[in-house]
Amino acid sequence: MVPWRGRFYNQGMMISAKGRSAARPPDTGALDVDRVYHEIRQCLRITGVPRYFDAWAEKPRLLGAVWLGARPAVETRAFEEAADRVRAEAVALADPMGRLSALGRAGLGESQAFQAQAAVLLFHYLDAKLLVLNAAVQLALEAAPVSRDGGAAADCELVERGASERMAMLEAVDEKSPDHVTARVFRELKKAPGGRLPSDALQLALWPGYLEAAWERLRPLAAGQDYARACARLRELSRALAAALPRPVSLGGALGSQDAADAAALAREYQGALPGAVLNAALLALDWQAPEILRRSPFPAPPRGGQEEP
Amino acid sequence: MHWREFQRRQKVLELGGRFLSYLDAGEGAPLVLLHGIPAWGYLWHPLLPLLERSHRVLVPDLLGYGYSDRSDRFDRSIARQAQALEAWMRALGLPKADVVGHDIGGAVALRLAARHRGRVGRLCLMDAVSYDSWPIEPLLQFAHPATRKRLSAGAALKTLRMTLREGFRQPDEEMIEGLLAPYSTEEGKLSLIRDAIALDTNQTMELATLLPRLRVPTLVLWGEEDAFQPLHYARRLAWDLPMAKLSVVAKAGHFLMADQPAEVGAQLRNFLALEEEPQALAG
Repeated sequence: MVPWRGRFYNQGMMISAKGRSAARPPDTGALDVDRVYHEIRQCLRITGVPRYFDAWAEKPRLLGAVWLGARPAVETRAFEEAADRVRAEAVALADPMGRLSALGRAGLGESQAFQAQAAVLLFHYLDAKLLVLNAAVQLALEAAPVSRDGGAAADCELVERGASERMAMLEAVDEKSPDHVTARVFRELKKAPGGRLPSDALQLALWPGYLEAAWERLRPLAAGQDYARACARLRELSRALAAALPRPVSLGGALGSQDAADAAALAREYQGALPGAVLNAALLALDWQAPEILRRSPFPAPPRGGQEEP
Repeated sequence: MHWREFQRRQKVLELGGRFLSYLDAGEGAPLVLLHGIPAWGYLWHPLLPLLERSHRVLVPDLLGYGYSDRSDRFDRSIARQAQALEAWMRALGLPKADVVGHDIGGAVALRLAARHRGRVGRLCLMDAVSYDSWPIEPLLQFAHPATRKRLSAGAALKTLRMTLREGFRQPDEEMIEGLLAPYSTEEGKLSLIRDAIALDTNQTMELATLLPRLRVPTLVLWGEEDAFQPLHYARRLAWDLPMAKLSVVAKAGHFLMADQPAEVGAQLRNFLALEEEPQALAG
């Protein structure tokens, strides 16, 4: 007789006794991180929560303050369109840089390529939104003046909640990947300021050959002047668009001085990293998709209460 | 074959907003191989070299499993899986195929044969779930809503690995690693939890009355030492299906295709090559 009973529960209790579950970030404090993450998925219209928010959740107070402050802006049409403009600009900047041909070099099979392309489109959609969001958070932390407050009713149109059914799942391999190719790329990526692995790398690692091919092509490109200028342009554009949001992010004095300093450091770190992520997603997608198609949102947002896009 | 090589060989087909990954190898009469839970098409790799010599072997990952669509918001029950397979066969231009189903794949195959008449030529049920033989206890526990939070992906993998080992007479670690590969991320774990939640005994119990009228040549092939699906269910299936023959594979557990690939492959090829109908098991 196989001793089934209790196997899963005992395993679970053992984990609980250690005080953490790998399914959620550590140090959750009193904040209901699961609930906040659910709202993030719904409002940002994505299938999972990217590592960007895990970084904020390392101090749950920061996650709570930033999300509560950003949510009114995030669910508007204006925010969606600001991200659309960043995405279109990224495609325009990436197009002259040439094609990576990473997908072809990776030697993926038909199903693998189909899923890898879907993953890239997910980040093509997501990273532009994160960049605008982060720029708005940074502006709030700087208490920078914004162009409008409250916004016109038309600008404050809300978009539908929830991810498109056509969007790939946001997945992540274990950071301690046993795959030696992936481990090497991860080590190199961690040398960036902050030392965090981005969600796109963790997802592309599902196909180690693709991650490696992409990294081998992106690494020299990222060291060049054109790439640096493109990132600077995206950074500048995201700040300008964030400043014009009809519902600016407001932290409303929710953070103490130390928390505010930590938040500013994190926002600065991401304002450094996210433009490259936006550009990389565009460069990867250009391998198989025409620029005029990529300039449009891969997952257009229907109005709230309206119909899902066809 | 390493699981990544199997995955590399998979094709993809979009079906009504979902996608289904499958392997399509060899030439000849179409033969569909269906996996169970927790598994994916890779389960069948030990038999591929033999079967693709004589057949066009089609090995789909069921919806919500392996490298098919694992997103949320769709029905993963065996009834829905049979409908999806029927649509997949239609999209591939296959009016009829021989079908082999293992574990819940057996129940899907049986529903395909019973509910979509004419789609299944010959049917082989390998250590299939049937009647009230399932879900087995570990999957019931896995389907518990608390599992998502109580078990990290790593801890779930560890537990699933222990469970799968019980299905082999001699555990094949490389195969077990491959079978669990799609479920190694948090999202993969969540998908498997959704798969487990969809397991519904009623959908095999309601077939029981249809079995005596199912006139499809059937081989009920069972591992003698199956710890998950006891042999008496195989006998009951062979008794209820009018054109069924039971064959018990010695020194094999639930994963008989891994325990005894040569024996299972030979029996399968012989059955698929038969011109005449197999004799029903008497008594």
